[in-house]
Amino acid sequence: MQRITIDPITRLEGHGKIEIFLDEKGNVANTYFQIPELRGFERFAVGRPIEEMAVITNRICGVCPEAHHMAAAKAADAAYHVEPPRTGKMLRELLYSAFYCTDHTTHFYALGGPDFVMGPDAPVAERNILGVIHKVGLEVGGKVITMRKYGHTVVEMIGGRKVHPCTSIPGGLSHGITEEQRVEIEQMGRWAIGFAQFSLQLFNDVVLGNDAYRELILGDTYYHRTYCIGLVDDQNRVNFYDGKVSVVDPDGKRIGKYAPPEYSDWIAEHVEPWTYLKFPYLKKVGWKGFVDGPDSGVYMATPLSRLNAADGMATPLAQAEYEKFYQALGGKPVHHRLAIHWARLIELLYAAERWVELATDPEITSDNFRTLPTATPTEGVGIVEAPRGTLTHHYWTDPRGVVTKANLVVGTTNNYAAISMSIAKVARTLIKEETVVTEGLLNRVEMAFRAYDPCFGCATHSLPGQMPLEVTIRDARGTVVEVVRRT
Amino acid sequence: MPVLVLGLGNPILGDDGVGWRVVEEVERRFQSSETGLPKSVEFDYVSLGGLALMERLIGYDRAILVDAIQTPGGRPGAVYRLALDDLPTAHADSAHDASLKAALELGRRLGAALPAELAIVAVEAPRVFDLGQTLSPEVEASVPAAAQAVLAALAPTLREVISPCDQFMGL
Repeated sequence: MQRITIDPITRLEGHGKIEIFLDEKGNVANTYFQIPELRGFERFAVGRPIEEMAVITNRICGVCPEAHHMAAAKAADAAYHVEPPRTGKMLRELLYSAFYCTDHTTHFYALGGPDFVMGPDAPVAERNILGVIHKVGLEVGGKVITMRKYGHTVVEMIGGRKVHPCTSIPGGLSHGITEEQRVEIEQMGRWAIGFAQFSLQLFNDVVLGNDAYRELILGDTYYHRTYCIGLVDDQNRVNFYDGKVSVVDPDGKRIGKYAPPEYSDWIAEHVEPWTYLKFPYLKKVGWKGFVDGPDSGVYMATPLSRLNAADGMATPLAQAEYEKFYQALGGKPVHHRLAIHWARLIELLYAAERWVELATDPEITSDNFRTLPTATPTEGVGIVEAPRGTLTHHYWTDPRGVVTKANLVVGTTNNYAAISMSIAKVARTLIKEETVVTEGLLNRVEMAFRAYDPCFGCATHSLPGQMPLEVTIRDARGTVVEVVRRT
Repeated sequence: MPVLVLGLGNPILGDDGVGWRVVEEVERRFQSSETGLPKSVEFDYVSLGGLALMERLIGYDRAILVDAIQTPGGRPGAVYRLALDDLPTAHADSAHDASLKAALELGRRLGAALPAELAIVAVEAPRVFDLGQTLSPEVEASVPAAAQAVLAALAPTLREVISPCDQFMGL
């Protein structure tokens, strides 16, 4: 049996590794996507005040600290049995909407977009944000940096710090915003709407206007019929900050919605001997292995799954794009994994519109941004949609509010089974007998997981993305017969 | 501001926090000296990579990044002085967006005022998966040497603002 390993070669060696085992004929026998689990979170959390978790857990991950901040803050609200006032909730959601714009922009222009703008067979040296600006124009780079700057500015205004916010406390926030800040936030939000529309137009021109890319998206290689989950508001529209988690089957039929405290009734975790990381699945359906279909509890938690699990978007421009999306892709639900990139841009537009909606609400500058907690804390669950999947924080406390037990289900982990299946399917489709392993072929394998925007920063500090890669082909005895390395 | 000394890493992830510890040590040495903190040097501590790291570097003539690193067969606690073209550290090479090299190139093409000189001081860090605020003994023991390496990298700047530099911090 031959063995192909896609393995980062810097400090991430072994941290996010794809192993492809070939049979005697050179076809794919098995694939394994391995990620080591970050150890000791519960031990680290126990003994600390629950209100500290919103500040500490946002250090777990350098990619989505705002998501951890919000999930931990909502868990602390629940543990203290306190509901933030409307202004407090809106300020948190405003911060979160700005963060979403930054995060989705970064993924599209630096990670996912280059595969399409430059093409999957382009040299890796060109398949990055520099290649994108070379092809599309330098002004695109300027727009990306401006979008990021505006997002960071809002996070700092409301969250107290850039990137790692620290102002959400049980019952709301530690401070509000002034009218002067509100005006600035609104202006930046209006710019963000235009940028999101520009990005969707770019996707339409470059990707949808290219027959080969359309075929890549709509072909069978990147297709899995799984369940989908996503947070929705009381009208079943996509919401990133609050609501219930909607669960739909592979036909798009809603099988239920769960509130944060009910998550353990819906989500269970499967263990495999070859990885420390567990595979979440839908408890009511059951674990049937790495297979799709209605009998398998494997689910997806991504921008695409959020659209599939909702009845629509809560803002007008995003709703129009939502309708266009399903019309173009043959109706709802959509299971083509590369369509996640398109769904991500629709979410970018929604986040920008929501940013302006919240910034123009008459109560956003109110001083009533916190409800003082008075009840004895017990236990709380907080759920938000991280850009890369549903994020759940669960804490148990003693009567002083000191954490006695903790559990996290992080965004990307939801997709671990689905990502593994996608990698396996792509590998089986593309690596055939006597196939020469090329960089373009490997990139198509990577594209399978890149679509999910995986962040194992919660489990490791980094992940395979723009990392240098090494492919090792071994014979049946494990001897290296060929090494393909790209840096 | 001429120089930025930036501790990179995650302060709650074991040895991944060594970059912060080293910069704290450098800052502490300055504070306990007669001259105090030099006005031409700024210290900061971040958990950033890629585009965000590039954005943090805007406005400085020089920058010194201090980070954890894992190299094949590397001795725990070994201190390296690297340039950008050398083996990247985890944070210098962001996985989520762009590598620092690509991000810097983007910034320069957009006309951002980025450092003309970038030095990296890295410490071999064996334990980066265990949540905790302490360093491995070998890594902890290397903090003074790494701090000295940062001071050595700072020496050209300090000579411009503190004379004679040799009387400062044993350099």
